[in-house]
Amino acid sequence: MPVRISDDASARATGADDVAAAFAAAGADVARVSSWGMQWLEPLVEVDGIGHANVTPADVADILAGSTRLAIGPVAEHPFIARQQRLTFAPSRWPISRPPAAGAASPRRGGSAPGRRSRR
Amino acid sequence: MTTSDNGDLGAIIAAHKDRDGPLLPILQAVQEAFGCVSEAARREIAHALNLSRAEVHGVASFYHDFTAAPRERPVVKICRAEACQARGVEALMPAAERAAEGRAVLEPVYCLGLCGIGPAAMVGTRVHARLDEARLAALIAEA
Ligand code: FES
Repeated sequence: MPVRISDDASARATGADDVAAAFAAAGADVARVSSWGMQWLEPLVEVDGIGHANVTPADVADILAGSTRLAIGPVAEHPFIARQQRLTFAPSRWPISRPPAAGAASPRRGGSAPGRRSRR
Repeated sequence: MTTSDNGDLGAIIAAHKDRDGPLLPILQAVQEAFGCVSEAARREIAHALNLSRAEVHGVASFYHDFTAAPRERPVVKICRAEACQARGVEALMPAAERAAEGRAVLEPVYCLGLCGIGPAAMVGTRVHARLDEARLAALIAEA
């Protein structure tokens, strides 16, 4: 299960690169993804759909050991996200930031809207 | 600009000359390669693109990132726009100015898109947020 860490400006400006390096050094499979847009939670680290907010390199071992000290629950259900009606960045794309490898199962999950076709 | 630079300048111009809207990519590449877009370079770019020197100068002087001469000191851009003001950037400035004295140039910029997590600053291509006095001073010292 990859550890998802944004590489947009707000994440990098708050130290996400160091956090990503620390996860990689600890042997985790790190995927740099786009941001959910919740600047105040960055660096936001997503493990198995669960967000961990304002993570520093010092928290990495804890998170990998299953600590929920910084956990904010499922990111897709965060009120800031759940209350939005996304028209262009449709829920069917959450939280995909690059196309899945050919033949890979669709990583669609979270708040996917029923009946919506994912375009890719 | 020395003659030996002219070869590189010519190569930069040739690389972008035939694309749509060649001026900005050329100015960016020249600034990157030489640390400035000198008067001589502006002249040569204008000539190559069949533009007036005034046109090239107008574009080059509109964007603060294009400089006529190389900068002697590293530049730290500190956001002084509304959200960063609300988040206290002005209170950091005396310490920032002390840290910059004799080693870096502080430039105000107006919004780095990090409004929710200001005060924000930029050094080179890197942005930094949630700055306090100590972190901003460290940034300036390392710039
Ligand atoms: S106001 Fe400072 S980043 Fe937008």
